[in-house]
Amino acid sequence: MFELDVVPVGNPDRTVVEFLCLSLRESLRAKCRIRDVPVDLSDAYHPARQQYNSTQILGQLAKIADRSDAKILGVTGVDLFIPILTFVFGEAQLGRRAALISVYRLRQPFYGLPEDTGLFYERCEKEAVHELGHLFGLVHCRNFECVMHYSNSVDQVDLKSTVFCEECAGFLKEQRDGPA
Amino acid sequence: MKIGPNMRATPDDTTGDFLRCVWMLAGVVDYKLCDRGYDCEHCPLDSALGETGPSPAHKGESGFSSFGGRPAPATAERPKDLFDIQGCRWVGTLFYHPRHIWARIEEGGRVRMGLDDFGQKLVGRIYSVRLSQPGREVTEASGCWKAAHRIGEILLPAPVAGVVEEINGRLLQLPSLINRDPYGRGWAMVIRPRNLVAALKRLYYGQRSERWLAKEIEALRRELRSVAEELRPDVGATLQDGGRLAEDLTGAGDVAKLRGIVNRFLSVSNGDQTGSGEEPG
Repeated sequence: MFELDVVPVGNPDRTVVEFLCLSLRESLRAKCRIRDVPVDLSDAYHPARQQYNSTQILGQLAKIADRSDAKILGVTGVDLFIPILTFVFGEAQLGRRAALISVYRLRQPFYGLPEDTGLFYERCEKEAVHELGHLFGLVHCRNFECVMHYSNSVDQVDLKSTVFCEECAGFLKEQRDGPA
Repeated sequence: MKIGPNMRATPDDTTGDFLRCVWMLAGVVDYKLCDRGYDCEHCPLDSALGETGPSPAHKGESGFSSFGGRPAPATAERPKDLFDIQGCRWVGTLFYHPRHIWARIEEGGRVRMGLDDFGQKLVGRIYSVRLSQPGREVTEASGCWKAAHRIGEILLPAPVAGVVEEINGRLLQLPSLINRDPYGRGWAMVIRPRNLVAALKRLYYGQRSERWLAKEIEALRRELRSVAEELRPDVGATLQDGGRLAEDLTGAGDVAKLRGIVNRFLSVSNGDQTGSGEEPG
């Protein structure tokens, strides 16, 4: 069991944050709690792209993470980007403590489709598990069903499962529990 | 009057403090002065005429006739078999030189060529283009055309060895056509190959070119990530999920390092080594 602080960033839908706290407790054996700390989004906003710089926000979360022993997962409702990509669903420090996901592009209405709450929550969980996998040192996986598979778009998020493939699960176990 | 970086202002092009519109010089419109420093890419008139009208370079008697442009034949049309590979447009029926030059075989074995979508994304907005003159011998191993971009100038090869038969005069006037339409109106030259069959064996095609491009994109993302990480040492190495390559990658980090990346992937001086390390042929 590892400690995980789920931090709402920029006033996201609170039910998503609560859902992730519950689901990650079960899927990753994380000791989750919601932690309300101020995160300033204003400097991260890019007016020309009308998006928020993910790495800049991640920098703030990393500083917060440094002040406790827990890993941190930021959850935001704003649209994230990094300069080389059109958008990101999430970003995480590789092998360190802070991760961030955006639910902005995970809802069906974003794609002009009717709301599907079940699918939305499933996508949120996949992205959260994916980014937390990076915190444990996992990189992107070639297995398209593995949650660590890279997704360009939401249909690729839907293709992958919420769990790790055997190889990634083995690596994760070793990282968390030490070599067998 | 400030001159835009993609244009040449000669005394003949100016009227007092204003520049004559390229379409006026071409004789397409009777009178139009340019108040945007030849930033044709953002000009509504250029957009409107560019979609439907003839190229100003193709009007023959204009001040641009010295660019050597001839009317683009129908074969320069936009490809129909266009696919998206991780945000990069890829045409399945084209051949690709490892330096990201596409090649289309046309009637009589001629080869039309240009910079592919990966290449134009990597260098971003192109401000000027210099092409070899028709009649000049070119090879796939040495540079024969240049493109100036936001962070430098890149020397590019031909995809096949041969003789330049035709150049895209309109591209000299509107270099950003490569950005807007790399496989269509952004074509650069037409080459008459010395030995077409032998030349094509050295290029990527079909599934092999698709796999190669995917590897190049992955390699580029790795390189750009490492440059970006240097900007945020407090955050360190990160990985992301989602998104495709942005339209212009030149703002992603330190200019000198980005220039190095551009050269590694596109410059002919990099020899046969591709950006992803894969060997062609």
